[in-house]
Amino acid sequence: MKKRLTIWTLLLSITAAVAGISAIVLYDRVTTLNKEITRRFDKDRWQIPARVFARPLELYPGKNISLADLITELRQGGYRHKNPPLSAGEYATQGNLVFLKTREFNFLDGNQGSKECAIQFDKNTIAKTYDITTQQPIDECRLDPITIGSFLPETGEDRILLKYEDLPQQFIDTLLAVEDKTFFSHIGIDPKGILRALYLNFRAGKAVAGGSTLTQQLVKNYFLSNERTLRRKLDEAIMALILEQKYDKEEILAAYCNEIFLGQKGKRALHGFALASQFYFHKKLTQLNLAETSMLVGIIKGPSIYNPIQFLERSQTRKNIVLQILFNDNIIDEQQYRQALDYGFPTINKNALSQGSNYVSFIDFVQRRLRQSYSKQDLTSQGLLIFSTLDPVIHTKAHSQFQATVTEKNKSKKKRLQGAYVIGNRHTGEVVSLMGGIHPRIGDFNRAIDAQRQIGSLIKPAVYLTALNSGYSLASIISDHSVTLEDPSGKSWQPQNYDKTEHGNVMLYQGLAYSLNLATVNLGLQVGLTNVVDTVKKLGVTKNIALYPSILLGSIELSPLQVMQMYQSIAASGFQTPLRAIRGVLNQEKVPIQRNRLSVEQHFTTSEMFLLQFALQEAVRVGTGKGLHNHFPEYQRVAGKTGTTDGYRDSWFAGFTGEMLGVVWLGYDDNTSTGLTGASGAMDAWGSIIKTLPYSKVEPDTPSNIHWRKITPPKVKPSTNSVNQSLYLPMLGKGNTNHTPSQKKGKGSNSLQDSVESLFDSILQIFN
Amino acid sequence: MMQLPATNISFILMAFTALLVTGCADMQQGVPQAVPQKEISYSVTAKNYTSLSLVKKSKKALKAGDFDLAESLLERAIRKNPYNGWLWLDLAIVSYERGDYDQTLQLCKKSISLAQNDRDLQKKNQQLMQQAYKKE
Repeated sequence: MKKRLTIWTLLLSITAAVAGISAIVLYDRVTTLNKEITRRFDKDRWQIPARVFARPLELYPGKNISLADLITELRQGGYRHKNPPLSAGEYATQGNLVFLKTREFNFLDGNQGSKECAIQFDKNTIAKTYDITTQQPIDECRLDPITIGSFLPETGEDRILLKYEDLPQQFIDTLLAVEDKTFFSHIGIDPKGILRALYLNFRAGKAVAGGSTLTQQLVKNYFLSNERTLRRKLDEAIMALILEQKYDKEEILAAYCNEIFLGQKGKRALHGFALASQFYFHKKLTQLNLAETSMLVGIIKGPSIYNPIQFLERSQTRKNIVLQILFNDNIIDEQQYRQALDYGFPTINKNALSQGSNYVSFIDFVQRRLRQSYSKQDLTSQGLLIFSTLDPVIHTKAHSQFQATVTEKNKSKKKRLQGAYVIGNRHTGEVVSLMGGIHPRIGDFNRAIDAQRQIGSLIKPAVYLTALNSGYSLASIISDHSVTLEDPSGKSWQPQNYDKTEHGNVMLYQGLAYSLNLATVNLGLQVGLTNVVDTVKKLGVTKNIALYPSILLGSIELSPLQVMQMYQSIAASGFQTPLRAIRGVLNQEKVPIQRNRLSVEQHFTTSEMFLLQFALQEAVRVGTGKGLHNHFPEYQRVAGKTGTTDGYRDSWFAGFTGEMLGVVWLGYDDNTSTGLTGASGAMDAWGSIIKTLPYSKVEPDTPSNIHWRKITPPKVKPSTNSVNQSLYLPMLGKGNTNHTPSQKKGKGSNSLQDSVESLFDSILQIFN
Repeated sequence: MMQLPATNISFILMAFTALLVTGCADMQQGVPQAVPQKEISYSVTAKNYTSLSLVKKSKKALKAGDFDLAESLLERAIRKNPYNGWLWLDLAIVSYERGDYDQTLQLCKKSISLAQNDRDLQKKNQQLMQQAYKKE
């Protein structure tokens, strides 16, 4: 008896000891896990990448956009063709009319609800815009912008945060019916569910059912690794229990909806239903219909298998299973069930999605600008909403034209050309498209911003502007005669014209239009190097420039972006506006935290810029830019300048139309010869890009102190027809300028009278 | 041919009738009478028809002291119609109200450069510039 007792006591003691030790171990484990949960769940729950939006498309009477371009942008923004367009994000067309229903969106200037609009086109311009609901004409119809990128954290996780209140009831019902029917009543784990799963799996002889609650799934995704051990299973259960103790159901459900992995696109991991809904359906969760909701919930089972973009059929089947469950559970009635079964998902054109999607260089540009105000951590975690200036329609066209032109140029070459371009709005300085290479990839050298290349003749407008600024007129006679100078090392420098000939006395505007090197150097020396450099700086170039005569022919090195700033000042008639890539930033709560104001600073008078613009238009009409006529047969008031550097190492073009401004550079990274001039390379690319963009024929009005005078200029190119053609030149004042700087120097002249006299000289020269 | 819902068809008919009546040669002339002149005092010109509601909203924001919003709205208007000197004057007024007199002067210069023979616009710019000079 005693012995027995002893055995029992021993057994009991051992059990107690084991239980005690287990309890201690368990307690310890629970404490650790509890800390872990508190740490991660309470603070910095997720890193939300900043998203970058394109500019929102604003449709208004007078806007230059073709119906086809509007459709392209609608498709890029995930709008669906549906007739009639009843829900947000749908459109229909009839003849020259487009009907659409916009999606609600938080813009920089506040929230804008969904609107039904009708857009009426007249050729490639919008004639009228109407509100379909009120049937009244309206000023404009603004679309929600497309997303062009996001700044992912190291993990590659991308998500848009949602709150419990953002979850539509239909979505919650669907999710719980499929994933966790007793979610609102269980304690984190569902013993009955586990038993049922065990039984079903045992009967089937394989795993056909899972017993995990949503809470467990959340724990598994959020805290634990993917290993399948008993210990991990135990941790999962403990954590689920703790989570349910500490947080309410709504919070846990919202966390699940934000955490869940729903797809992968390259390095980007799609997390959460808010992002997945945007990604797969281009809609907010609240805008999904029953069929779409069911499809989305169906993806949980296997994002790589049931992804509707790659496997529409499979995900349809999965959607039908989800609907079946909803119907069996009496969550939907038969009519809803049938309707959702028959819902026709539009097939997604994968090509359309990928087209125009190379935003790498532009995003890099945006990021650099952002980094002036935000840390990398801010950008990858704070969920900032960045409103950029990129125009997706223009960008898509521009970069495909650019690539096509360069591919064409490459045909006769052994090496592959590189290149970059920047395109922007002439007036507001907003950059609408930018490429830092031909096929740029993330991390590549961004030539648009970083390539420092000699700019050649692109500098010339600064020389002529300095002259106009010091009293010369467009008709002033300047000397295109050879000149010998000393370079910094004391060697003699003898610049030459491109055609290796001298053209004698020419009018000032001709020196620029025909890009005459000798005339430019002579003029530059007359007006003074310091003044020229000063002009370059006033045009917006912030770089230090050494005072060598060779800068007159563009020996300074600039990036395409720096050149762009310079030409923006010219195109905006002397009012400099800093180039912008970002309009503003909203924080995660949709509150504006940054706005980049449109600011201007006048550095030159409108009149002198008007004269310079005219000379640049002449460059395209009759001068070195004449080749652009192929691109613009019916509109020749394009202004621009070619640039070629020694040994054909760089091919440049910078120019503008009534609306757009653009700079193109082509060359090799190793600075070897391309065999291309500015005209045969970059200008061709520029023309092929700009001609596809909407251009306004509106030009600056002639300033009131400018008068037009009929002039017969000397002939610059003897080969062209022998009769001198006269033209109207804009002149400051009434023809007599009050300042004659050239007389001081004894060469050239600037009054009209002098010009006409010199003109006779030059005509005589021709006959000599 | 596409089928549109009945409301849409009647709407299109209406739209076309409206077009026939007003004539489509100059869209800008049809509408301004419908807008009460007082509310937007110096900014009603046929030229900024396309931006009327933006200008109105901007005025409202300016009154409420929301300079950023007022500017945002005007910048949208300027993007549509960069040659309209009145819009630049409006932007100058916002700059003035927010105390940025340097930018006020610059924007007035921009506005004047687009004023051509619009004496009224020139005068209003001069006035604002004088005020800004005093404050600066």
